[in-house]
Amino acid sequence: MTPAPERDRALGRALRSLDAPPATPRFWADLSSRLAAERTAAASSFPTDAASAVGAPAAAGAPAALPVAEAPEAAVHDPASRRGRRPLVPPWALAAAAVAAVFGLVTLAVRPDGSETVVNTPAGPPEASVPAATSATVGAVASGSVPSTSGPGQAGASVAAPTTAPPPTAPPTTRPPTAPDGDLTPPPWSGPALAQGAVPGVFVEAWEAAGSPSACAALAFDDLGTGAGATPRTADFGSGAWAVAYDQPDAPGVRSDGTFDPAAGRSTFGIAGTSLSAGDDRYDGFAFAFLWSDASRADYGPEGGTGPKSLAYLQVAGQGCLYNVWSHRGEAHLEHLLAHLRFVEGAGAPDRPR
Amino acid sequence: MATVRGSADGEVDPSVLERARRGDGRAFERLVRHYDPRLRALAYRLLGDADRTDDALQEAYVKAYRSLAAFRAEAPVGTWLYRIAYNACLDELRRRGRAECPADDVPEWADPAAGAEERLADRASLAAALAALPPDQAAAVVLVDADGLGYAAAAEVLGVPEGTLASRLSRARSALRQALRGEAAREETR
Repeated sequence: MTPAPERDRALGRALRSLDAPPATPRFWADLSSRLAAERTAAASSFPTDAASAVGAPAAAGAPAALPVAEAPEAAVHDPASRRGRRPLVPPWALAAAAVAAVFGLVTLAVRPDGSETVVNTPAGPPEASVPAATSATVGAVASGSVPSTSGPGQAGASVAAPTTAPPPTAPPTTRPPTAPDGDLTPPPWSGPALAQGAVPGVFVEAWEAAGSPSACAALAFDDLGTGAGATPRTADFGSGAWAVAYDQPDAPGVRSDGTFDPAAGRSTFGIAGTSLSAGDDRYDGFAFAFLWSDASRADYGPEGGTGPKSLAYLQVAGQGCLYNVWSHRGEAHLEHLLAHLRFVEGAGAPDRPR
Repeated sequence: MATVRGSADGEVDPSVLERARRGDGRAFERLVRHYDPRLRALAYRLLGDADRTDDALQEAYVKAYRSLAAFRAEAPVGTWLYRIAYNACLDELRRRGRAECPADDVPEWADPAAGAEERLADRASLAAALAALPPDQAAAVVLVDADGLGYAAAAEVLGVPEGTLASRLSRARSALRQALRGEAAREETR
């Protein structure tokens, strides 16, 4: 007969084989929203139970991959399939959160990596009442965790290193690196558009090559953070899209076949105005989100849930296309880039930035 | 996802805990991410359903968030979280009862060199046998035999004296073995 201790160990091994499926990005996004709502509730003196949850990220459903997989630098991720399941956030809590949002209440959301990032939450209508592309969740992230070393001088010829460009005619975005609890920050592109001479020429070239889409204005970075010195070039995101990728020697990126290489130096980061509508169904499993005061939003996190590329789906108020912003330099760098996006004069910039 | 670093003994970095206790939301999420796999395993084995596991853990983490400032560190924070998660599972069971663990949801045996006990069972019958146990017994056997908690820690999680824990554990082990032996016998006669 098997000794009791060995039988117990065997039983333990058997029990351990009943492993639970790991937590999904959606689970953490839901939790972030609920914790944010906890803070909102505390700040607004709402009864805790009535405000214990806030709109989850965009409604679950079959994720749609962006149809630009042929472009190696395309920020197309591998959308993880998700089973349909009931929302973790009950409708009554969504309603309470919506009321809180109306009063402009915000709170500090959570991030797992300990970076110094403030997240404003929540605002906007509850999940059930709006299309996926505009449903509310989590708020605006500022970019204090990455030192700004490049300044705005990233302009120049399309493939030249950005060292000799004139300063921008418009002042750079001076949004504080962290947003205070209490209000959503305006988006960086709400400031004056950058002069064409202040940005690499490839931005305008790429935008014009895409047919000068009026609903997908060119957005350029006014600061590259740790990507300073990278060389911009146009990138292929398929018909009707414009894209600028930055190559940075020895930095993480992709090889010409699109596979990741920690020192490829190609497509280290970049931005694209895709041919997809901002309202199209798409992957909704990103763990984090920015929400700006003009209802623009960026959902972001590791591409496909695992990375190594950090990817953001950006919806800009007043623009009809879905933007992609990506970085192989890490999530903090992606956040920095998101906080340093500006319209470009003569490249679809709205007359009055939203 | 960001990597969560913990100390060698399985407890989270004390600085993360301290920052979480001071209200740092990011630190709190790091804290729960650190313990989530273990808590998730407990919840899943008790509830037998991934979605219900998510629901229970959401409730548990929110409760922990609300009460972390009052956490006195009289027990390891992992034990404290286990207890909150266990209670959230009990609440879930009270609301909606026990789910049968579908065989398709249960992973294959991980250990190809499984011993005699493993050979008696298949994963579905084990899940079913576990689901048939009273929750306090199921939790006892999961915490001690699967998760490796000591008797004192498991008793702390369940809120019972060690003697009670030992008694529940003994009954749970016996019931599981009996159920698995019965299943094996039925298989042999088919």
